[in-house]
Amino acid sequence: MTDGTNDINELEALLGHTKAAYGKLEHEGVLSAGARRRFNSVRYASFAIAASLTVAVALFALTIVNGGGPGMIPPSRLATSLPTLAAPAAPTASVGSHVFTRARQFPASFSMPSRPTASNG
Amino acid sequence: MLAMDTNWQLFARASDDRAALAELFERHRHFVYRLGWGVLQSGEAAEDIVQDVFLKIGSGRLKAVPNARFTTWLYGLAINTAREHARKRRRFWGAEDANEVLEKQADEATDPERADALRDLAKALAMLPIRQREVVLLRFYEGFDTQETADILGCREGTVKAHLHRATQTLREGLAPYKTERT
Repeated sequence: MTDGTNDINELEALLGHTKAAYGKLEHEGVLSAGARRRFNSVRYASFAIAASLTVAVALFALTIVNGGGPGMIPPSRLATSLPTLAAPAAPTASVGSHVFTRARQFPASFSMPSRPTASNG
Repeated sequence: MLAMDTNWQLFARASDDRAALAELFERHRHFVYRLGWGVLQSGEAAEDIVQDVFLKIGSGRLKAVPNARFTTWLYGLAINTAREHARKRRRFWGAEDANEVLEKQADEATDPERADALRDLAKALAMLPIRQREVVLLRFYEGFDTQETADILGCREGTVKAHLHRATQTLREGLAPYKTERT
């Protein structure tokens, strides 16, 4: 097995004249706008994960302090702590003067048509 | 004083401190670019490699052991990034792709010798398979010794010597017609 010195000498003879040109190859630009955006998004994602974890830990600690384990908030406290939820408005659509709501898209008498039966003509 | 900080100190802060990342970028971008260009023979791909390498450093997700030389570690990262790019593209770049760099970087009117040298370099590297190309770039052009080259490439010293030997044979045979042409 060669120690590599002969090969290096031979490469010097073959390609020695290209060394200076190689050494002068330079990266001309700075990070592109796309790369900067990706870099920012990486940092933003880390920040968002860290913030979410902090909030989760804080909520967990608050629950423990309030006298219950996770998922053990007393019903009385739960009733007062949850915001009142308004019933969502029924989605509507209109065709001309007729207004449909999602619950009334079909008349009450509507029924699925029966399956066609095979006949011999 | 960022200029006084060692590379490893800057690396440790790079994910939180933009100025530290920028200093590392300024110190090493040409280094990474040259290697990327050498491996993939494309200025555009080399730019991508520079960006990817420093984005990885800036993400803070890289594990590094600061008892090695920073440049050895960084070259390993750059080589791996170049290999990822090569795999993605499923082909090695040929000498014709080097023309974009020639156009950008070599002003043939004022420096025709450099333009010729770059052409010869691109021609020679295009003759080699990627592993031999990496060894020639690190060992011959960047001047790393055999052990350092092996550390960067994650292989044994013997493998580096074998690749270098094969690359020399290939280049001897491949460049002979051009040498005869010139003389």
